[in-house]
Amino acid sequence: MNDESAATALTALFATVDPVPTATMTAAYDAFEWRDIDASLASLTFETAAGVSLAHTRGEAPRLLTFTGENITIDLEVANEGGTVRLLGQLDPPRAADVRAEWAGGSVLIRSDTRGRFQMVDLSTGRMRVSVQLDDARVATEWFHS
Amino acid sequence: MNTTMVRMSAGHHRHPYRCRGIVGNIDIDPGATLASAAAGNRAAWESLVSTYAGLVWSVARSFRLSEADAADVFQCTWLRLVEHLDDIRDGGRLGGWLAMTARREALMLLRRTRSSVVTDTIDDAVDTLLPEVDSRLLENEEIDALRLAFGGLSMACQRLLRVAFADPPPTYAEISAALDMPIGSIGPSRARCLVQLRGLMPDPAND
Repeated sequence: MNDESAATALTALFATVDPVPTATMTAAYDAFEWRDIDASLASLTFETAAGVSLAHTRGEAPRLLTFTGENITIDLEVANEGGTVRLLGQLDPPRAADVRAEWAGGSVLIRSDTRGRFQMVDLSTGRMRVSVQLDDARVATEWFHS
Repeated sequence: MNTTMVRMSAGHHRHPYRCRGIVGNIDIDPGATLASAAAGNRAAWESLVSTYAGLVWSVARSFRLSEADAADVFQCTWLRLVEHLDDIRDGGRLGGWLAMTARREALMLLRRTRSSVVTDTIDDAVDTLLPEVDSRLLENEEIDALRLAFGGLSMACQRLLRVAFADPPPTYAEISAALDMPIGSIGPSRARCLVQLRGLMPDPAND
């Protein structure tokens, strides 16, 4: 078995015993539908380590995530509580705005107060993003895990 | 000139170096397809996914993730691309970007899911990256022998070969991004791993 036949054989091996599952491919094709062409992206610029709680008696210690976008910073405290997620948010500069949390199975829309604060409870665990409607622009955080 | 081209060492003249967009081991023009997807063309998006799925999946699996976790990493990687469709201008860099992103998502998943009291008792010598498959399902006895031999390789070799021989085979730059290996070490390491692999194959199967 020379290098070339090894290459062919290995490629065939992986394709045979470990292909990408069909449902996984379908989900990746459908990822395109999550494209938010009207929103600019707020990237994750800071994150506390997702550590195991030392002092909390219920669930894990909340994580603090900071997303920086055009003209806005979105701070999120993400807490997993008994299988659902609680989000505490802070917009900077502070302002009242429509805030949406989105995940595969649904979304929630609320309004931040004039100090830019908001809270959402009983959200699904897993992958989600938060978007904020500014005056004539929308900013969406990158997808993150709760 | 394709900016991902890397000068090969002399010892690899027999193995065709695959350079995206020049030798054309992939069917698409990544730059044009990327631009089309960025403009909203779903068919273009699907051909991007189809083209690089093998690479992205191989990276996820190289971390010894379960199929469910690998699927999560896979999906996260494509969601990242959706987020950055307008940012990636050089189609030649797309494969490397996807490999790097898959790697990063896998590491993040491991951080998220690792408990504080894990003791890593995985015995490298017996673990295989390949899922358990009923041998009767494998029509080709040579492939089955190869599967068994592959499982006998060091984990480092399994990871390298799993990524290097994804379908279609990645470039050195993509392998480097996937495994965080210097490009110059890929060729020699791959050669060493193939020697190990041959050593584990049953004799009559060797040519």
